[in-house]
Amino acid sequence: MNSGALQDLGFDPRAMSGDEIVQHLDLRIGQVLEQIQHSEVWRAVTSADSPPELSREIVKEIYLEIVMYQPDVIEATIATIAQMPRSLPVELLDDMLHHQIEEFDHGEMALRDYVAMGGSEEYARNRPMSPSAFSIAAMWRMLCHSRDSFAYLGALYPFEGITPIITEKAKDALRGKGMQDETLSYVDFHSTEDKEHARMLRELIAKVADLYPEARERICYGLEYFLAIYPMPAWNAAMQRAMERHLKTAA
Amino acid sequence: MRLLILYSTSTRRTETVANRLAEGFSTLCDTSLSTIENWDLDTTPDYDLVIAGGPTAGQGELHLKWRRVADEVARLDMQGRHVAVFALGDQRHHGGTFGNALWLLRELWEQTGANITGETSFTGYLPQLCPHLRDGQRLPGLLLDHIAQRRLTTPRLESWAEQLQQQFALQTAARSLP
Ligand SMILES: Cc1cc2nc3c(=O)[nH]c(=O)nc-3n(C[C@H](O)[C@H](O)[C@H](O)COP(=O)(O)O)c2cc1C
Ligand SMILES: [Fe+2]
Ligand SMILES: [Fe+2]
Repeated sequence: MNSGALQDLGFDPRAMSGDEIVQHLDLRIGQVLEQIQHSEVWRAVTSADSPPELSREIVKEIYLEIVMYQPDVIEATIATIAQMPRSLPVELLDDMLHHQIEEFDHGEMALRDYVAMGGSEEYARNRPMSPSAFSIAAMWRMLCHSRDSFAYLGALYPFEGITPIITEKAKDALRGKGMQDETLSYVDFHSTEDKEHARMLRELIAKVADLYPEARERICYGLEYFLAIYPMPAWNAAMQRAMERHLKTAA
Repeated sequence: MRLLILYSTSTRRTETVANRLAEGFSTLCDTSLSTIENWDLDTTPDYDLVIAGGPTAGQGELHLKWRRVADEVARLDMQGRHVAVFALGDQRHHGGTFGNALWLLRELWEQTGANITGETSFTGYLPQLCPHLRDGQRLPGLLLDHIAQRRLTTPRLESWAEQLQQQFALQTAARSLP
């Protein structure tokens, strides 16, 4: 194994089975969940003593991040899937593409919630991409550009593995902060639906890693590539914007 | 007869089905159509027949918009009224929980005291993908798979509409659906 890879990952995934790869990804997600729950954003959004207006403002800005990056992520991912080896069993290709179909309109879902919170659709659609959203979009486009198709499966893991758990943990707190059903579609939807996506993705990763030994390292890299820029940088950017507005209105 | 069609949708497949049902019935009886989230539930008992539908979501769950009003629906008094349920699902990608929303919708509306009607059977589906369902078993309503069996949506919808129209004596010489 390349010494650089050993340094980046800290282990050699080449001899690991599909299930072991999945176990590793789950372990990493567990560590990230710990970090999230000790973060300032998490405290500001969920803790009982943070101002409800600030919590709501942060969630609204997280929705805006999603609106900004999601169309690029979908477009690049579908193209990345199209770069899979022609030997890939077609039912796995079907599962991969079908998952993208199920994600297709989620940027619009986030936009509806954003608008329901008082955000402007015109502004959300036309504002320049925030640096954090740009880096997310860029990472997915780079996977496609460098034809690193197996890596996409690992990169998906932070989305599908973190979202159901975080949305589940946050949704009651958000209602406590005065958020109404119309502004929580994205959160409510993902707290149940992404459990199924996470299950499907686990199965897919295990199968692909068993079939293609060369995919194992790339899947682990995909996870690390994405974790380098998500979720904390995007959520911190959201909090920053929310804080600025909050301080301005408070002043 | 007054008919009410209530549905929920995420990606509009259920909406397409609900629209087609509404078109088919509107020439035969007084027909109202609404998404569940935009409906004033209190007026529901004014209808003789309610057709309630939605996609199967999550891991075999009711769609979010139905879950949000479930308690309110369960409290309705629909004694002497009829309810027919339909659900969408996906055998290929969600075989193990295919169409669960159909049973959940029935359970929900049963609590109102309504008479549940519009049974069909699990015939012509893909039982090898759905271990929880037996070929030929009774289904509590209409079950559609607009992903793996898209071409069967129209014939299934037509024959179900016809079944209900016959039952409620709404048949005319014309075709049951446009
Ligand atoms: C996240 C997700 C989970 C789903 N889970 C199930 C399921 O458990 N069982 C099933 O039969 N269909 C499931 N489906 C398939 C939907 O029921 C199907 O796509 C339906 O046509 C969607 O209807 P709509 O376009 O009206 O939203 C799921 C779809 C999504 C997006
Ligand atoms: Fe999503
Ligand atoms: Fe998802």
